[in-house]
Amino acid sequence: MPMLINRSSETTLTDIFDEDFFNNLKSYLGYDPDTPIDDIPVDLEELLQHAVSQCEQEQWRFILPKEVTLYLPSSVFCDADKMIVLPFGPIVNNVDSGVDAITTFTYIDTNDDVQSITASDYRRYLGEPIRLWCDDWSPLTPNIKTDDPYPVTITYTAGYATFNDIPHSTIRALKILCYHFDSFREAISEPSVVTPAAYQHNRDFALLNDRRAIRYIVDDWSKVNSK
Amino acid sequence: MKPTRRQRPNIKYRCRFYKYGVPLKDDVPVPNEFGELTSEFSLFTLGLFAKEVPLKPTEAEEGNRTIAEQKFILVGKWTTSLSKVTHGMYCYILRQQKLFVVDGNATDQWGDRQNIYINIVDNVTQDIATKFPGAPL
Repeated sequence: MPMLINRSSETTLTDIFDEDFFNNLKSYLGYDPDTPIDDIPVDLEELLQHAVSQCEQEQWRFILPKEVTLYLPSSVFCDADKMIVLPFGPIVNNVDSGVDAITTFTYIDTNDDVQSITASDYRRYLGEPIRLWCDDWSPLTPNIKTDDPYPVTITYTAGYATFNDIPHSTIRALKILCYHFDSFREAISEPSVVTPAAYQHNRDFALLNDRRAIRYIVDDWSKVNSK
Repeated sequence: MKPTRRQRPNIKYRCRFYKYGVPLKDDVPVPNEFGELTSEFSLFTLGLFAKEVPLKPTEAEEGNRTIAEQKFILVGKWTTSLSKVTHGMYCYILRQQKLFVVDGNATDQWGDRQNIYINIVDNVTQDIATKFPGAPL
């Protein structure tokens, strides 16, 4: 399915990972936690950014929240379970400030006009992945343009809103990967930086399952992580 | 089975490296509040190190008596300031509350800025050790 990932909307690394985490990471890499950042031969933020990027690519879910737009076929409303499953991890829903993570949910009708589906028309199951369910979608999309290959558009923000929301196994995986990238930072060929087994275990632990919601994105994953 | 070198738990020590001498400001000695030029310890850098015992104790002469010296090698992660640790500086290991002298300059044997090696010796003379702030006499 076509999809668009808005990298400019990505949350800054330091908004999610605080100073305590970086001090912890320093100890993990073998540096004294009091060592000034400028004294360390690697840029810790850049190191973590690479680890996050790799983890996102391999886990098929966003760690740093960013906006994604999915373009779906009309058949998305015809699944037997009447469910639309949103990939890339949990959505960032800031209920307190009234910000809805799903900013656009529209379809194109037979007159080529864009029609919206409002949040009150369907039920949203939070958790991972997000599931949108309606007893009967057809009254909501009476004149959807079935000739159009992708008449449905959903834009939402996926990722973990705070550090505490990130699974522990993912945090461990990130640390192991940071250590690995630090140790092999002079490696010049791809095979010499094969990720360690401990990283792979933590990355995969309880995560390589249907929660990844690969239903719509299998063909297009290469576009997700171009860094 | 006898544990190998790799399997042995390797305690990491927090080390503080100090210079000892008259404090300088713009390369000019700064006198103390009494107008005297006195030597004192000033923190240079710090690091997390594994402490290895490479050799048997050696004997060294101090004044008119012979004392046993023990050399250690500190192995830690390379940082810019640790690479500037030089012969004659002092190393204070927090966990052991003990002061050592740095023997030779810090070395990065492979030149890859991964690890740094610093030799230290436990032959700090009493008159210096007593001037170290907070160190036990």
